[in-house]
Amino acid sequence: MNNNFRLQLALLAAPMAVALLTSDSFIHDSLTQVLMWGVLALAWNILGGYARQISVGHVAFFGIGAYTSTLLRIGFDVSPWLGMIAGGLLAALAGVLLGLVTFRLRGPFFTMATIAFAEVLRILAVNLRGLTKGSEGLTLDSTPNVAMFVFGSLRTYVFVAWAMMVGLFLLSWMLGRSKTGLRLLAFREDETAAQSLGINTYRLRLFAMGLSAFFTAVGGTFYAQFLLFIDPDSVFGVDISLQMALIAVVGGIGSAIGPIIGTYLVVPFGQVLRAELGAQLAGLHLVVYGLGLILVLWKMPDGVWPALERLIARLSRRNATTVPKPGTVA
Amino acid sequence: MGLSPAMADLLIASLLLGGLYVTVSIGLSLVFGVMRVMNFAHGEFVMLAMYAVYWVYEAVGIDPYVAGLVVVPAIFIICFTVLRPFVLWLVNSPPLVQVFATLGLSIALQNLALLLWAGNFRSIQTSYSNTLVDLATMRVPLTRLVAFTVAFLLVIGLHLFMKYSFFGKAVRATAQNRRTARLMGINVERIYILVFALGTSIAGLAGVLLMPIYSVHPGIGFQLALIAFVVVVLGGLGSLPGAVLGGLLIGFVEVCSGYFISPSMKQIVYFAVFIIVLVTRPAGLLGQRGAEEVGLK
Amino acid sequence: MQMRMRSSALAASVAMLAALSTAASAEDWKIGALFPLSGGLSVLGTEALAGSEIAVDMVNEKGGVNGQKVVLIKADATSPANATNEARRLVTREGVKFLTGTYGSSISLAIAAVGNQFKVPYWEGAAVSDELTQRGYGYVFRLNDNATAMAAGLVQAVDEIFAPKLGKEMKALKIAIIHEDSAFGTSIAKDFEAQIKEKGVALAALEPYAANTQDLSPLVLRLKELNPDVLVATQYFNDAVLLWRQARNASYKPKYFVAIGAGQSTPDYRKGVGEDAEGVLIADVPSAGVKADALVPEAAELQKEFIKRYKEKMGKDPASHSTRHFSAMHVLLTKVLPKAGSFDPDKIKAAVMALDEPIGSTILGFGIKFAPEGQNSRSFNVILQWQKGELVTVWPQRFATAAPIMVPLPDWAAK
Repeated sequence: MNNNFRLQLALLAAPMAVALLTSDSFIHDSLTQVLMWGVLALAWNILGGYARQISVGHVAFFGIGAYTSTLLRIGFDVSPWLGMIAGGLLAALAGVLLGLVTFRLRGPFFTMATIAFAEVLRILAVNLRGLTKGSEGLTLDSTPNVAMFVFGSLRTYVFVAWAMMVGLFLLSWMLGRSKTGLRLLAFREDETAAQSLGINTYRLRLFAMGLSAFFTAVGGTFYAQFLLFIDPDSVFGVDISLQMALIAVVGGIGSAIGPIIGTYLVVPFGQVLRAELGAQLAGLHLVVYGLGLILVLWKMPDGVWPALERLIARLSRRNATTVPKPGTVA
Repeated sequence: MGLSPAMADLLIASLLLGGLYVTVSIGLSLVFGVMRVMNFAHGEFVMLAMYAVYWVYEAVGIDPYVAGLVVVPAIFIICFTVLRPFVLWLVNSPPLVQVFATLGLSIALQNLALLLWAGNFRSIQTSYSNTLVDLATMRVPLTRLVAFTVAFLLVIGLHLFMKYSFFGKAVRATAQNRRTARLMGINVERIYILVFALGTSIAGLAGVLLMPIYSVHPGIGFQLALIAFVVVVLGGLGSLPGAVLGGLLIGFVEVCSGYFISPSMKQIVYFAVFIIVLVTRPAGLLGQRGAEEVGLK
Repeated sequence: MQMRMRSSALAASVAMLAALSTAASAEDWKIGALFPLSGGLSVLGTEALAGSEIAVDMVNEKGGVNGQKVVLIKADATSPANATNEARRLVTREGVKFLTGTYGSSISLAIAAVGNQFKVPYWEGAAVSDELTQRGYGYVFRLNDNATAMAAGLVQAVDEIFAPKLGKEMKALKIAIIHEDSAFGTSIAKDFEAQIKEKGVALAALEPYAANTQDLSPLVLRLKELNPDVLVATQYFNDAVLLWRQARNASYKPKYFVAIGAGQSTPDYRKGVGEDAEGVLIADVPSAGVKADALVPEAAELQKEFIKRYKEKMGKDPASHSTRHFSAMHVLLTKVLPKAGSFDPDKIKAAVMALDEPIGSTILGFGIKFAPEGQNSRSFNVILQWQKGELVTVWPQRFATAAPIMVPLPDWAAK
């Protein structure tokens, strides 16, 4: 994962460069969404990539984050910066509880349980109208106020989202190289073998769930502060769970940069398709999207980043003109 | 306003709804149980069959059940031929790829339907659409009884077939351990194709049975698929009777919680029941213990 | 020889330019139109857009606005996130200075927020959320009925049609309302409850449910048990059909039933429940037509023309959201833009606020008088009814084309 270091740096820096070079509001909006999804995909990756527990219910944590910070803001004037932490902790707690409850479940059983969990929360959000105003949603004050996580300039949102994404990238990267990361690697390769090595897989799994949930919720708060309106469909919808995971899978779940590549590819792809085809023939852009997804998975089943690495390796081998010294590898 | 009539009503409503859920889930149970593939596009095949039956009826006026005699085998053949490479690729892919590839298929098919036929809800009115059969205090639509009966018979037939026929045994062997099955001389690839085709055409059959009862629209597949997944996992991996039990249970829980608690909370209750069952019996109601820990071997 | 080649080259390039200029030219009126064209609301969004498009066509045929063509720049918006993104794209990339739309409350709120950010006016055609005009945005305008007006229509039906027939005051009635649990149903039900509370009436039951359910039998059984005097419903299409079918199966027929015009007022509903639609009362805009002399002559003519064109374009009768969008767009193009002269937001606002037309001036029977926050105060719902397979306006008498029948509704007819 420290291969192609410079390439990774460039990829990380790219959105900032674009944001600084342009004042176009649409670009900033699109960038913000790309970066936000990057945060979500990275968060999902901690559980789905590092621990290989496929959750299709992560939107539960997203929604917990969004509603927690929003309700604290509306009801108690608590700054969403703090609300974000509160939401994250609440989500982490929920994640750990879910992990406890589902600890014996593997594979599709676990996945289904996560879907069920997220749906329960969504329906609760719709029905606990006294708390959440149900489907009518909650609106946040749009007066610019940095302390209250509302920015007058879209570019600032890009900065913040970018900082979050880079921060989470670094955390993922360090996690991957840490002892816990190695334990997770052992766990996902062969759980029984890992256990026999003395790894407490039970605690490991809970840790991954809690951490993953925390950052997903952070993404949820960001979303709430960006759109300044949340309702059960937009923050508890199953399509968000799917998109989060999809981005990580397309980008490559084995690494920290994978989800980032994923979001750079998937989100603009969807946006461009919608912009070009959306108004013409209803649904066509999504047909293309669905087929595109299959195509990517077919050609690059472990994701774009590994495929990119392989390509770079192949190219650099071909470019090698010097004869390697005896005893060294080209 | 005594409780007894209401209880009978509830029971009947539960059975009918549960029967519907069972119908939609059988095919998935087969595919999931044997191939361990979570086919997110399962519901789309139900949807496509519904549209096929609908258009045949609109165009030439052929009764949906009769049209089904053509539509279901057609789906079987399509799966067997056109989708063959897709299925084989899917089976040999890691679970993540399976989930998202079938998801991609689901999105593509849903929106293809939207593109071709718009999002309108379409329903059929046949001569017997409104025929009611008296059962206790409820008047049950004939179409629902037919769906229930056919689904029930199908499950019995399928179960016996899987248990006693040679093909069935080959399928079960493959489901248990495909490497060993191959060593026994079973053509594993062919089994997978056949199972997928069978499971998907059963989904098509579900569509045929549903069309006289419900309206079809591009999004109906996804809604049904979610319930089907809950039912199948609840019932237990690879267990057809489990799928029946799961379907009926979900139907019962849904109707009763809708009545006694609130129609808006009924889904929460069945999801909660689902999670609770999984926690206590991780392999599902009738699943093999240990199956939840084992991937595709 | 060279001359001929040059002139034919010239002719060819002129022809090409002419072909290319089906795209908007710099002087055209470019209006953004954001609708859900894919996803769950696609049918409603497409039908709503059709209404807008017909208005644009009709105005362009007559020479456009102040001599300039009107062009709709369309976009697919199905969620707050992509509505925001697409609205920003239209404003910053396509140079759109005026936004219209849509269907779906959360989508309309998102578009309005973007409009507010750029000081671009937003002209809402059908989304009903009260909140749209309560956020303090300066340039949001809604010609048509909002949730409050719709709820008022329901109250009117109960108070003026049902209560007299039941021989009781509304206060003495057991009223139950069922609603699908999206923003649409929830906001109308909430407003209904609040409005009858002002009249001293308490609801006997408020039952939300998820619109995408495959089964309403628990709800039907609960209603049968409760046996309210009056049943009010806010439903979408599929659940409206499901309710009626499953009520029949359970032998439950609400005698005094009125629904909000969404599920029950589409032609597909009639197809879905057949004869059972007869007598169903609906609070909606009078898209079915009103008494000829209830409208000013231009409006009556316009209505006939619109229905004719819609039938040609879509092959069926217009749904009420299509008519709403047609009316809104037509008023915009014929009464607002010509006066404003440009898309300048303050000029637009001045032109809008200056409008003062009595009830009966637009094809839906609305008058025009915008309150300061942007909502037309002269919009309202009338009561429609399915009679002999057609929707007719039955209340208030000023607009009615027929008298209400089947009040109370008879038991389920034998089939």
